[in-house]
Amino acid sequence: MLRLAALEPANEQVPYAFEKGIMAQIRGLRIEDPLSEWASAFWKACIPCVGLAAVTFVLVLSSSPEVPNAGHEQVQAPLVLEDLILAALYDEGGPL
Amino acid sequence: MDRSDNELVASVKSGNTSCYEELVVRYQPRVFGLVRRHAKLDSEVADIVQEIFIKAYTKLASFRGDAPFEHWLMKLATRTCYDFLRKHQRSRERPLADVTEDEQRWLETIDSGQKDDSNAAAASQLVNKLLDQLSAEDQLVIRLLDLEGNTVREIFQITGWSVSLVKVRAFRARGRMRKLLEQLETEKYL
Repeated sequence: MLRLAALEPANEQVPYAFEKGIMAQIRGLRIEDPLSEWASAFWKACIPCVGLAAVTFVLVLSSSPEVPNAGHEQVQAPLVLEDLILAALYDEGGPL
Repeated sequence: MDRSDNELVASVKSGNTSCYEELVVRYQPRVFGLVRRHAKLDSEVADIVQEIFIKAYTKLASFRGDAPFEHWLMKLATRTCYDFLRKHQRSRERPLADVTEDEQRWLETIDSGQKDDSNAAAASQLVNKLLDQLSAEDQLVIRLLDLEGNTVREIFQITGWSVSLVKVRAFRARGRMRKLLEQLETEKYL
């Protein structure tokens, strides 16, 4: 039965202008790809950068011994942050 | 003068997309023939063929020219058909469709021990009905081995299944088809 079924020729009929539809899809693919590739690369770079910044912040926080002005109750958050980051440089005898 | 497949592929790879149209025109009849053996509805066939050619375009960079472009394309087409079969595998709980008169007549000649090689169409329709009842893997191995005449080695290259796995699958699939055929013949008399 299988041998006989194999003798039946395959139907190779192609719908009219089928290749035009394929080429239209492919041209649409080509235009979209560079943008989506750029966007994908951007997000891939963004996430590790943010992660690295967060890790660096935590490390600096945990390593600095004393933070200038940290005892003042009304210290503004940006100043505290600045002092935190620069504290390591004060201790190591850096440019400041 | 017609350009060779490798020349066209090189041209497409270097940015001349319009050369791909010539490859599509060259091979779309064969791809349609192959897909029609695996999918039955015309709407499904057109979608699958479209997917095959778009996949081939996006993966053209991986075509190294070691084997003819036609072999590479047919391999990709077969894998796409297999993926489609697995995704849309119909429930095997569905009863076998009624046999047509042609199929009935053909079954009767087989039952009586006669050989009827004239009715390939009826045999083909019956085979497709039986194959629809099998799993995607069984359908693929029977179509590749028995209907398309590929060797076991070629099937290994297309599917990645080991030679022994192909042989075991084919043996089991034929056994299941035999049982389904017996079931059909029994129901005929009920």
